[in-house]
Amino acid sequence: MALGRPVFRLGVPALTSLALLGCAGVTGAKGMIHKGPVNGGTVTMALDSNIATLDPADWTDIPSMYAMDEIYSTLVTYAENSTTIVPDLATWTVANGGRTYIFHLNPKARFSNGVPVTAADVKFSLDRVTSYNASGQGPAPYGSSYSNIVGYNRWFNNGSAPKPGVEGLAGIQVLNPQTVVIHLHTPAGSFLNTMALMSAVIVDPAVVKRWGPKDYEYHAVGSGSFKVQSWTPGREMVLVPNPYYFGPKPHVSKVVIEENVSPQLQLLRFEKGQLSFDINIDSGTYLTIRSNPKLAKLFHKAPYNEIVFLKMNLSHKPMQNKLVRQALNYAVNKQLLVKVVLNGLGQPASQVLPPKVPGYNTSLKPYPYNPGLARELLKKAGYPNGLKLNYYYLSANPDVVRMALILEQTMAAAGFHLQLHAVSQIGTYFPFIINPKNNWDLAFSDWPQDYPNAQDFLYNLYERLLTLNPNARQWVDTPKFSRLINQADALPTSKSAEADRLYAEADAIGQQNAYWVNLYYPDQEALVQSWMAPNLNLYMHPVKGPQFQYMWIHRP
Amino acid sequence: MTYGIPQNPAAIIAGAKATPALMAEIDKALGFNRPLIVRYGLYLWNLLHGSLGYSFIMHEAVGPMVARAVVPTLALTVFAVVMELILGFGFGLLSDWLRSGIGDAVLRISTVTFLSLPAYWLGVVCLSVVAFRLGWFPLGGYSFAGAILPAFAVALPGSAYYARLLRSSLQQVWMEDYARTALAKGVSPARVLVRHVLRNALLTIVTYFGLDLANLLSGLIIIEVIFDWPGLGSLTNQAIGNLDGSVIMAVTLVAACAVIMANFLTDVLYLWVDPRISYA
Repeated sequence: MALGRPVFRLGVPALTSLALLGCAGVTGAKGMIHKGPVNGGTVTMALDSNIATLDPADWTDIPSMYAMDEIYSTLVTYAENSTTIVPDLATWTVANGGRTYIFHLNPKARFSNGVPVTAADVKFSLDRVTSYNASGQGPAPYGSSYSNIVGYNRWFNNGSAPKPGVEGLAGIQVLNPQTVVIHLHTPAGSFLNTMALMSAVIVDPAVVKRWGPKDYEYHAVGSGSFKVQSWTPGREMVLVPNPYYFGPKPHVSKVVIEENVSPQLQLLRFEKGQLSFDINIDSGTYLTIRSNPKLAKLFHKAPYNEIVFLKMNLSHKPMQNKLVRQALNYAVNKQLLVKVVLNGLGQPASQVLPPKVPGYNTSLKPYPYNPGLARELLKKAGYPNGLKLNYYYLSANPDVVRMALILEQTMAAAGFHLQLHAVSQIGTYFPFIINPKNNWDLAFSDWPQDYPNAQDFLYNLYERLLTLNPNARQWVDTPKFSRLINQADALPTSKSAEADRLYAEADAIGQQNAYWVNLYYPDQEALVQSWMAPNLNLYMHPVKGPQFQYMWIHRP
Repeated sequence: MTYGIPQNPAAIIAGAKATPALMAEIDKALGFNRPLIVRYGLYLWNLLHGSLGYSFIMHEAVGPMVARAVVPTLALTVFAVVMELILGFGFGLLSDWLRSGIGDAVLRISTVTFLSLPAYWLGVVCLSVVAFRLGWFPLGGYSFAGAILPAFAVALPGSAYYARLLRSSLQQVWMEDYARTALAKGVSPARVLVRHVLRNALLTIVTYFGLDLANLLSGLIIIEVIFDWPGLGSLTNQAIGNLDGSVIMAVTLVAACAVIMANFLTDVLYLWVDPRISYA
């Protein structure tokens, strides 16, 4: 059948467009070409633990964040491809020298049950997460992140739950259904970062009240790009697009998150094409990937904002001597740790701030491994025969066990004789090493970011160091360090370059005084199927979890 | 014992970045700072009212969690036991029939090999060879097809015990006067086996069956983790890792009930196998 004229007129431009589209296709990772977003299909991923909760008042863990980030919205969020804060539910203006934030809600925003999101819902959500007993389990773990909001102490100590007639946080005001104003005690450059945390997601008050604190998470309703279709806790969660979502509709029609699947089984399932991507790669599975050309082609890594370090018990006499602390830093072979423990997936640490956190001081270099210099410093400090130290670490992680054995060997050459103490349970380990009165000198620690701001590392880590050990103030260079980080946080975001300079200076003080031994910054890794959207930030965003909203599937 | 270990559940609930002040508040809110004897008393009181407690780490009542895990473990147990009995009886009867021949020797060496195989090792081999390389079965997961490999990994070593027990039991019973008389009277060996010998040889099998069932019902921790099987074993593994006391206690209780039920079933089976036995 010959093509009629009208069809031909339509057909040529259409064919030309298709051809151009094919040529212009997106260059994906490792040179793979994809034809652009395609609608439909199911994305499947697996976790090696379970999604603990969907309640922002209980949230602490990363797997829960992966699900909550899709189901809920926050007032602000991070851009698809960077750590830039962008509007989510609201745009904002800043007034009163950085002490007042005025959020203007998107009038199209609705929860997945069709109910519009209002300023009263924002106030309820934040009042709830900052109250004394938000979900029946005591204070919300991240509730104190909002302690700078006016009225926090009074509201927290009040012990009430948010309800009609109870004021809640005095510093959160509802001006009208689309406008909420938040007043802070002091300006804080990290405030918007805390508003992007999962503890600040906006919940539907009616749903919370209907189901109560213990059952709410099984009926969670948010205004995110997805909603929960089904959830068998510990087994599988299925998400489908939220029909009322105010933003760009997801391309995929379903997301399946399998829980409690071991990394080894995840790798096998990925190889069989049963998983769309795999982000639970441990050092053991990495060796398998590296030796398999097919998998190696699909493997990607990116820097991650996490610092792994050795914590020192600064209440013990040797650690109070700066020479000893510096000797400890010279006694650790960081290059070897990255090579052997991480199989090269990371880089030695020069300071507390990871490289992608604003304020990272590019002029600082890692303490080099120099056992001779370490011995000299120990001698000068009054320990000519070396020093015996109790080193505690978590034995549940085989990488940490390997690290302990390497440290024992390499630090011995520098005069430090480590007595290794393995602790298998997190519930035992963390309370033990938090208390400086316990018999630990060095302890394995890590600090993954909550948000990509130097405050999260310098203030939260440092302040913890000092409040736990008040005596530390007398011989840690606090006044200048505290002054610098407080000054930096008080600067508005328009003066971010100056804030970065202040943070960098504070970080240098920390490095020179050697308050801890910075070991390395581990990378994040992912295996991504060739038929998935090629933008690697969707699987390895510097802050967020997998961004299902922007993923798409193209199967040739 | 779990609560005797120096640990603080508040540290797990609050996360790795929790301050001591936050942990203390959570301890107070959840009653973890109360004396152990008081908490145990409350636990027993709740148990009497049908509650297995609440997991503050999994944020869920323990009862529904355990109920969800019992069904997969029950399914896997039934599957594994059926396979064990089929394989065990098969090997045992064949070995008895091939008595003292080369075939019998091969079977005896095979059964010793099978019962020496650790189930977790066999599980990993099945997963990587049969499921992954050959693609004959799913890569773990909760489904009928997904149950075959974990059941087989448990059943093969277990069947060897049944085979060897059955073989030695049969050999003893064949020497009994009634068996020899029946053979002498011209009754076929097969008929003698089925009508007289087998049933009398079953008592030791039934005894072992009770122990085996109790062990399987308590949850196969490593097998369930390897095959991503959402049963009591997986739940126990998670709970131990988190030192989730309420879940550990609930699973232990279920395991104890499983042992009691298995023993009861064994006693009932004795009555069927040997009507001469009486509990009066």
